[in-house]
Formats: sequence, C-alpha cells, structure tokens
Amino acid sequence: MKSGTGPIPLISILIVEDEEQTRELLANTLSRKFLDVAIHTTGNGRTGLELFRKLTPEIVITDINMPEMGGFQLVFKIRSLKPDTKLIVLTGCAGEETMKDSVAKEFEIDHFILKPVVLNELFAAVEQCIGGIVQHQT
Amino acid sequence: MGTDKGLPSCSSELRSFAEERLRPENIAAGPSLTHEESQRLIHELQVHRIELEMQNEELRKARAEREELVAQLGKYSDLYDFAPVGYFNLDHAGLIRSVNLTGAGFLAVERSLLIGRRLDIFISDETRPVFHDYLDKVFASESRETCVVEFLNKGFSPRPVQVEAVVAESGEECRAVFMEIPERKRTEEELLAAKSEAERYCAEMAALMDAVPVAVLIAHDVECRYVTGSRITQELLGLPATSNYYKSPLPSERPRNFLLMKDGREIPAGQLPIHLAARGQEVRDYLFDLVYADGTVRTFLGDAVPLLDKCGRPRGAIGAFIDITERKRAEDALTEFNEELELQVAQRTAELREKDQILLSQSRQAAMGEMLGNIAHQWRQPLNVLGLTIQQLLLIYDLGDFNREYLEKIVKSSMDLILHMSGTIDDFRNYFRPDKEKVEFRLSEVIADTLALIDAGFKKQRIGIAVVAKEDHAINGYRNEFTQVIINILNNARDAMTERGVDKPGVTITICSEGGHGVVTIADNAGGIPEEIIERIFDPYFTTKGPQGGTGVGLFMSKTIIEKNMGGRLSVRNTGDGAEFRIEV
Repeated sequence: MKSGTGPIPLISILIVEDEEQTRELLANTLSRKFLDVAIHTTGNGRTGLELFRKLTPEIVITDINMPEMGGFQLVFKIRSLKPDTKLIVLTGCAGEETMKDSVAKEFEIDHFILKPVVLNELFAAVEQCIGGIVQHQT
Repeated sequence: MGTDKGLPSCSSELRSFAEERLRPENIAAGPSLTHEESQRLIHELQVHRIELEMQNEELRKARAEREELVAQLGKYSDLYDFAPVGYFNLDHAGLIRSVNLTGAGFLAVERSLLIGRRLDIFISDETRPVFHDYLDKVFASESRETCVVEFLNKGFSPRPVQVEAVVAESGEECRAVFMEIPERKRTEEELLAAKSEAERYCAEMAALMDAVPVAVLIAHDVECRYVTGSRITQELLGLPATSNYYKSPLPSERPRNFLLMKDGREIPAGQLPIHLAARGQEVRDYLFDLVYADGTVRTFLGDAVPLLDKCGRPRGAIGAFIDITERKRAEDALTEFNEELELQVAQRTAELREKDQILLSQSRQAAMGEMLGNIAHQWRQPLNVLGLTIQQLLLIYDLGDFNREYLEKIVKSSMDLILHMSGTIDDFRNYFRPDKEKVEFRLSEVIADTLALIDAGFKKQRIGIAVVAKEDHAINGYRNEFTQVIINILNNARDAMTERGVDKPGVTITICSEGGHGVVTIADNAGGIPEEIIERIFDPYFTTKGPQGGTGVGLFMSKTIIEKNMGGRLSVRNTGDGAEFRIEV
C-alpha cells in the first residue's frame, strides 16, 4: 500500500499488524503525518517478511502477537537480513521492563510503543528513525 | 392208714395166729362127723378160704390207693401254698381259718399268726364296709361272688385286690381267692417310676436354679402369691434362700429393699411381667430397672411366659431376666463415644468444608484473575483502536481535513467499539452470575459464547481453536457451569501446550449427538496425559502445575458439574497427539 503526496519518497515504512482496524488507523495517521514517507501494511510476520524482502523498507513497525509468524521472529529475520533497519515494536502484552531490556540487548529493537498507542510517542519514534536514516544517508 | 388193735399186720403172723386158735384145747369138743358131713365141711372151708383170699386182695388194693392219695395230698398242698393268688378260708365273721402262703404274703404277716384273726383289720377303712357286705352276700348265696377291696400297704397307698369267694358245703365257712389286679399293678409301677422321675426332675430343677446365671422367677399361682426363684434372684433381691418373692398387692408384705422401675416410674405389682404372664399374657423383651434402697440401679431384660394347666388355663408363670447393666453401660459408653465421634466428624467435615470453600473461593478468584486477563485481552485491541481514533481527530483538525462527514464516521466507529466492549463486559458478567435455574441451551451456542470469552488469550498465544459441529444438540442445565467446564478444559489444554512448547498448538472442539446424548470432545495436541496420573486427574486437589500453577480443583469441579449437577459423564483419553476430554450430557 502506498499513500501520501509529493515527490518520490526517500523513506518507506512497513506496518505489520494483524488487527485490521488498528493497521488501517496507523497507516492512515502516519501517511497524513509524514507526507514524504511511503507506507506499506500487512497482517502477519510471514507476509511481513515477504514484503520486507521485496521492498526493503527503512522502518518496520510491528505488533508482537500475530498468527503464523510473531513480531519477535520477524525482528530476528529482518535484523539478519538488513541490520540497519529501524525497528519499532508495538506491544500490549509484555511489560515495559522486558521491552527496555530487549531494546538494550537482545533484540536490538530501536523503539517500543505500548498499546494503547499514544500517537505522539509513535510520531516521535518515527521521527527519530527518519532523522537517523537521513543523517546516515548524508 | 393204721391197723386195728390185736390183729396181725402181715400174712405169716396172720397164719400163726390162726393155727393157735385151731388147737384142740382151744376148740370145744363136738360130735364126731360123718363122712358126708366132713365132705361138706371141707367144701365150706374151701369157699371161706377163697372169700378170704379175695378180701385180702381188696385190702391190698385199698392200701396202695391210700399211699397214692397221701402223695397227691403233698402235691396239692404245694400248689395251694405257692399259688399266685391268696386262698383264705373265712367264717361268717371274717375270722381266718386257713390261708395259703401267698395270702399271708399279701398281708405281710407270718401265716401261723393269722389263723383265728380278723381279716378286715388288714383292709382299708374305705373298703372295710364293702368287705362286710360282701361276706354277708357270699354266705347267703350258693354261687361265686366277686368284689374289690384294698389291703393296707405299709408305707404305700393301699393295694387294691379282687376277691372271689364261694360258701363251703358245710355253710360254716367260705373259700375266698384274693387276686392282685394286673392293670392296677402296672399303674402302680408306672406311678412309682413317675414318682422317681419327678424326684429326679426336682433335683435337677433345684440344681438348675442354683446354677443358672439368670434371675428366674416361678409363680406357682395365678395371683403370684407364692413365687420362688433361682439363686441369682435371691442374691439380687437380697432375700434368704427360702423366701417367697411375691410382690402381690399386699403393700405391707412387700419387700422394701428395692423398687422395680420402668421409664422412671415404679411398676405397679399387677403390671410386673410375671404377673402379666400368670394371667396368661406372654411378655417378651421386657426392660426394667431394679433400684435398691441405696440408690444402686441394675437393668434387666427378659421374658415371662404363662404356665398352663391341663385345660390350657394359666396356673402360674415363669420369668427369666438377664442383668444387662454392664452391657447397657457399655452400650451407653459406645453411644456416647459414637456421638463424640460424630461430633468430631461433623467438626472435621465442617473444617474440610470451610477449607473446600476457601479452595473454591481461591479457585474462583483464580478464575476471576484469568477472566480479568481475558477481559484485558478482549479490550486491549478496541481500546487501542479507540485511542488511535480519538488522537487522529486532532491530527485531522490540524491538517484542516476535519468535517462533519469525517466526524460522523469517527463517532460511529467509536460507538461500535464502545458497544462491543460493553457487550464483552456483559458476557463476562453473565458468566460470573451464578446459575439459579436450569435453562435449555444448544451446545454449539454455548461453545461459541465460551470461545468469545477466551479466544483473545488463545490468540495471543497463537493457539488455534477449530470447532467441528457435526450435529448440534440442545441440553437442559446450568449454562454458566457448563461454560466453566469448557473453559477449565481449554485452559488446561492451553497450559499444557504452552508448557511443552508445542510447535503448532491447536485445540479441536467437536460437537455431536450420540444415542440421544449431546457429546462435546475437546482434543489438544500437547502429547497427552502421562498414563500414571491419568486416573487421578479428576481427584480433588490433584494438580501437575505446582503450588503456583493451580489449585487442583478445576477438573474435580468440572466432573462434579457434569456428573452430579447435570447427570452426564466426563472422561478423558489420550489420542496419540494429545489428550481428549469427552463430555456426554
């Protein structure tokens, strides 16, 4: 899925979320907020991985609990495929401490956002990622 | 036979005596005889001689007959003396003129002492007048007369004899025959035997009364005025051995050292079991207390039965009573012990019930916690969506895209979410509401509703739930309890699959109908229940999850609900892939 207007986007975001309403809302909101970013969406880890291989998005926003392939598994795969991908994890289940721990060490995820999602936090995380990418590119 | 005086006894003597008389000096000289005369004389002499010889022969015969008679007299004397009957020759006054030995034996008196004595002194007073009348009759009659009199019998009752007598030709005396009466004799023997037997029984009875370890009372009359008893009776009543134990209605004569009580009241004398029995009433299992003056109480149990006369009328009674004081005491102690035990059991049961209540409450709390988790799962997504929706409003407004159409869309989608969340609350509230009465519900319906409560949790753990409804079935029962059973089984499956890290965890719920019963099977693929514990999984407090994991009440409660409350059956088996629970209702 592609949305937004303006010149050819420099950055693309892949949203992996099994709950349709959430997925649509996230995509809609992010495309309105970040006009020069391409937004792609899919419903589980397996299709998410397929799309990642195809589109190699700079940023992946993923849910944790999903059918077929969960968020953590997807994160592992993406890290091994393209280590500099920015990873933002949305979670409603695991505790904050666990996530902090994961951010620091094991999964090397870049950001985690607890559900219910506060948009400003998500926007801040995306902005940080974009800032990092731009800095890297220049 | 004697010989005449002066006559020779034998023939030779007779000859010499005759020759002496024929000497010439002894014969007067007569005229000389002529030849003719001589011839006639000789002839005469010869005739005399023949006559004499004939007389002589007759005499010899008579002598032989006499000797024969003497011999016979001896024989008949013996027959007379030793005859089995008594022969008496009596005169009209009843004096004994002669008697044979048997007759003397009847009177037990030496024969020689009887001659000249009156026979009637040996006859009983009762039959003496009869005997006198009889003698008169005999002397007046020419034929044989019969009567029965009694000879006195020293030390025994008089001996009846039959008399037959006939008057002698002289008319001076009568010949009487006294005979024992055979039947009477037999009766007498029988009586003697009976007497000795009775004496033996008496002795045995006395020994029995001494030995029997029971209070025995014998009332010898209907009024119970004469009552005897066993040694134990004497001892218990504290009376001398020879006492009469009666308690007949003469208050002044009643023993005062004890009271007979029943149900806390003194038993009236006429109502005592022995009295009732003496009046013909059989008394069985009569329980009473013997209360002594010092307050000691002994308890007795026994029977009393009437003694009947030949006509079947009561003539007395026998009662026998066992002292059951010790037994009663033991029984009372046992009863007390049992009551104590029952109390303890009741207390223990109450404690256990309380413990059960606590456990059930804990189990319910655990279920509540689980449910809260489920609610959280059910709400997390809609809350997230709602949050995103509301936050987007501001963004849209800032971007200048805000309009009524958009707002309507947002309001609708938000309200849908809110109503959905409200519905979720209702679902859980209904589930936690206790079932007050049985309702009819369809298995497919209750399975669907149950899954709606918990699917978020399963989904989160990526456990697939497949429902195969082959044939739906309507049942009548407690719907929420049934839901609880399904949830318990599903949660166990979930826990087992999570714990064992099953690769693609999945549960298959099958709904069908078999033989008029609804059947729900819930099968997981967690590998099954170890055979060594499969028999025990429905036991209360049996858990494999450790103290933190479970209370061990879930499956026990499930079995109780299905089998006790709904009359169904809950069983389990291993399929190879995992465990399969089967509910038949």
